[in-house]
Amino acid sequence: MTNIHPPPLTPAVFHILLALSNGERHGYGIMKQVEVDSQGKVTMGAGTLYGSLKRMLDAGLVKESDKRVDPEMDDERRIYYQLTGVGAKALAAELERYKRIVSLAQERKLYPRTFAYDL
Amino acid sequence: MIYEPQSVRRLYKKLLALYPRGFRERLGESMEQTFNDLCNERKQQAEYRWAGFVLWIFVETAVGIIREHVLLITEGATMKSMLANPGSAALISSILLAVAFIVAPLIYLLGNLRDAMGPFSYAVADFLYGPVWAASLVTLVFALRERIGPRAPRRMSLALLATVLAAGAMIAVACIRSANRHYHLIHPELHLENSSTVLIVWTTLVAGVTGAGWHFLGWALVLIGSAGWTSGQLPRVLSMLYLVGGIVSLFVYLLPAMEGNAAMLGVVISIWQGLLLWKSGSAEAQASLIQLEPGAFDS
Repeated sequence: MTNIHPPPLTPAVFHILLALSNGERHGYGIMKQVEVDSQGKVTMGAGTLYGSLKRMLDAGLVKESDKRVDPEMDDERRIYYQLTGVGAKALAAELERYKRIVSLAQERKLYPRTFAYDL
Repeated sequence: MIYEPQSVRRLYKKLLALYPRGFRERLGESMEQTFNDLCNERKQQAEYRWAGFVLWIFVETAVGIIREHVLLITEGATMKSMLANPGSAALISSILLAVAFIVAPLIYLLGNLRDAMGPFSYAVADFLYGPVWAASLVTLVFALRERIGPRAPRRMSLALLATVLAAGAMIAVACIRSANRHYHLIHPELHLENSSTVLIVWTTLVAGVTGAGWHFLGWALVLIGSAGWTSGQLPRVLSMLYLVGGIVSLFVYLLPAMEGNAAMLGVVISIWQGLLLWKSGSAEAQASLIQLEPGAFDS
């Protein structure tokens, strides 16, 4: 049976899925894309990145692509990671969850002025 | 020099070696590449804080290593891997058993409770001769039962039962010793060391339960020796040692002076047995890898 409301993703997993949503990347590429996507607010270390990647590989959210050279970097062959169908669905479900939260915040007129920064 | 990129890279590679093996084999190379990429990126920046970067990445990776080990333990993978390859567990147990057999009696013989480190060293001895001894012995016999059990199931099951009883008795002795020492230390005003009644009860109790532990161990050793001899799964000399060690252990309760001899036989038997189990475990693991290989390329 399909889980209609999957559990929320951890921030690291969410950012990795988001980084892989527009193409496959190697580890360093994911790190850089996470920085770009979060406008420099999220910096992921190697321990967090690869720990999350291992669990995502085990859960089938991502899969290893072929090992090849990145033309923009050195001549070392690297493992690329890509989103699976399950991973894409998990990302879509998470984005939907965020959308509902934002709608709720707007309904309650919490957004954008009543957060602690504005007090 | 730690700030030279090459030394830092070598150090990082060593740090990655601390990850659990499965993780390291799967992602270690990628992590190293990513670290090199990050180093190159920092070098290209006109002004960078090298020390801060290195510290951050090392600490972050170290936290990751701890997290992976904790996950491995909490998910039971360590236990599964120990059960899948009992050889290494048996070798570790045999070494611990030998250490317990040698170190604990030495502390009991040479230690002095009045020394600054006296109570601590006695606590170490109790820990070694109680829980460590018991857990190592049960693990070793369990691994042995997995190996020769099918050829002599009843004897090996009985041997495991006797081992558990011996382990329980030795843990009980450690608890009695520890409780008695604690009571002595927190009530110096009672001068319990001068009380002959306390001394007689304590010595009798400790000697009696220790004797029971050795006796059950004796049964276990005799049964293993007999099973090893008739099944042909153990070298003849080792089976003989089991039988001799078992007979000596059986009568430690009657002749406490034989405890030292029984302990020395125990050291020899446990090390020899641990090495045999480890070697056979490694050979089996190698064989299973070779068997898996043809299917590894199937789509």
